[in-house]
Amino acid sequence: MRDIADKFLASVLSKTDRYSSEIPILRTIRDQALRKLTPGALPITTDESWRYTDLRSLYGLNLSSVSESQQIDEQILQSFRLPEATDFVVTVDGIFSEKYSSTLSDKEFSILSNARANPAGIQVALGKALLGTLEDRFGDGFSALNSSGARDIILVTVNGESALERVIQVLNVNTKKDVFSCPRILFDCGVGVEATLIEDSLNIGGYRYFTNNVVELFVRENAKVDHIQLQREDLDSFFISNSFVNIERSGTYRSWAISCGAKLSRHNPHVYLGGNGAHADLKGLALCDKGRVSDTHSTLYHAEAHTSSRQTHKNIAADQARVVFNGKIKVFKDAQGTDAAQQSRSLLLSNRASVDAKPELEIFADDVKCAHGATIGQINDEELFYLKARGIDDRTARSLLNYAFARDVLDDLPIKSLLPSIEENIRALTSF
Amino acid sequence: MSDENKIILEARGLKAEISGASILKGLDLCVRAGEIHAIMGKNGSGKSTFSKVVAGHPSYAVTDGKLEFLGEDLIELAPEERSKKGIFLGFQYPIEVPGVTNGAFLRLAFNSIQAARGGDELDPLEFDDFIQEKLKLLKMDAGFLDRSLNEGFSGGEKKRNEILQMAILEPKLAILDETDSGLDIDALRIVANGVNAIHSDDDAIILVTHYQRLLNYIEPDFIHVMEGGKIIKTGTKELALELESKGYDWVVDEYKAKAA
Repeated sequence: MRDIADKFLASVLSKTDRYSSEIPILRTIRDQALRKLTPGALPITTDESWRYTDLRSLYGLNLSSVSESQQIDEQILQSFRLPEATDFVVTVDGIFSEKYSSTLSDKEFSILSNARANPAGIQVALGKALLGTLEDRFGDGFSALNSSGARDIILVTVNGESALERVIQVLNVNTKKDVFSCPRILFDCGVGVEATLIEDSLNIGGYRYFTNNVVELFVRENAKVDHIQLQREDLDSFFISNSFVNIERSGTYRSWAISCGAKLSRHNPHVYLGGNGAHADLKGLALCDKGRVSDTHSTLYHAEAHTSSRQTHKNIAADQARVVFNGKIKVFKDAQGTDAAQQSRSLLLSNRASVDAKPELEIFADDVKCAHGATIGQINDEELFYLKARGIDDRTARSLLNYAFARDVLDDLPIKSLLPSIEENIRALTSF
Repeated sequence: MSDENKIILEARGLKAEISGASILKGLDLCVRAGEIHAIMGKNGSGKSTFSKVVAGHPSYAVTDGKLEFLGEDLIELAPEERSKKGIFLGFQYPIEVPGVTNGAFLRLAFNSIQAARGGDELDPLEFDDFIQEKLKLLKMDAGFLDRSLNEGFSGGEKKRNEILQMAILEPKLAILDETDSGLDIDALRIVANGVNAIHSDDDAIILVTHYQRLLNYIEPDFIHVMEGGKIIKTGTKELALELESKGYDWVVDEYKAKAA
């Protein structure tokens, strides 16, 4: 299997070697990544953290990348724009689309592009200081592949100058078959600022493509970031996503990772609590049916004292779906007073669905609270009977119970306009 | 009550089992419109099983006998179909469903039943108006509607919520399984008044209970004693008082003597 992984890597790299930007920072992260992308860089099932998720079907694809942004029906595109969004940023097959995007301020937003000349200003300076730092430290073969293959990088810095609280929606649209794209965001939320970042990945038209997503997110002192990642890709596609988050002193990071689509999806959130009193609250929901695979490998790094984290991950698996959750919590030697709590709960809707759930704790400090729990169950027959005894039909009753199961992930979702789409996906799991 | 009244529920020689264990062993019962029946008996006599079998609990299999509702065979019907036809089971232990609000659940149930009856379904605002009277009947405040279904409800609140559902769904047959258990005297009165207000000459009620206490507030026309999966004695409300003072054993002895 190692052979086809290496062949795939070489093939993908050959498709992006036209990116030889004049922008130094882009060259730097690209070179850095290329040094890592030697044979063996992409994982196979003998690698411990990939033993449940077989990438053979991805590695068998012959993928290409696009250099021109496709035209999209503007009305369809606008229908995905969330009413809460103050900024709307669109990438099409991994390429930033100026035409469809609208942002509040150029000072806070810019694009580093392999296809364009060096933009001026503070954004670039910011990029130089931060871009690739978290990816290089915590990433894997796929995130390195993004660093080498991302054509456009979205840079956002929210400094609190605008009176409006920023809600930035990045819509990653895929339109073509057998294309791979590398959406990339660098998000810097300034000291004491509150902001929301929404990444929404979906397809219009295309199928069986590969999205290799990376976001680097900096939560500065006392800043508060809400981060929503909604993955609703085509059911024949492949989706791999790495999120790298650094939280400084007294910063708060809350995330909602909702995985609805893709034939195979893998999400690796790396959250580094790097300042006293930093807090992270991670919520995840994986909805999976048919023969699909949804895999989440999260890592929380408690690096400083008095950091706290809460994590709730819910899986619903139907048909022959396979869901994986591995939740690692690392508590560093100096991180005294760490308070971490993780729970994962899985609901199996069929006898052939499967779930692998594993908490993984590495604790080097001694004054630590670290709670974890994992449960796997089925729909409770008594609950189902109760609802049906009130005239509620089987399908509605089951989707009510599924929704009830998922609700603590969704209860405090700050962007309510996303709920109908998520509810629709929950309902779809019960349509047999 | 006259024999002319329409038969609502009829069980003849009804046998049922769960996981191969036989629980109902030939039960006979005929309930007509306008009547209130009480089924009493010791723990394990099959009272709750009978309630669940009538409501269509999937864990119980009917192995023999007949079970008809308004002249129609019930045995093959799914629980939601039975509910739509007008059967209501008030649960002994109402299920908590966190994340589903009571109001949304009640409206969903109401609209399911309305659709089956060809009546008008109500939108949230209309339903809100409709339910106010029913809430008053059970002395429940509107805050109940915003809470998760039965989650964190006290025993009394859960039972009142069951009767609220009965008031909304207007069943032809309500089986109230130990609705009185866990109620203090005030809650018992509220629940009983609610049931009495809902009951009319067109519908029938079966009360499943251990205790005579409930029957002071809801007056039954017939009292049945269950034992070993059968009804072994039927009487009027005076029988309940006799059971209260003398226990069940004499009924069982009498039945055995007769059988011998």
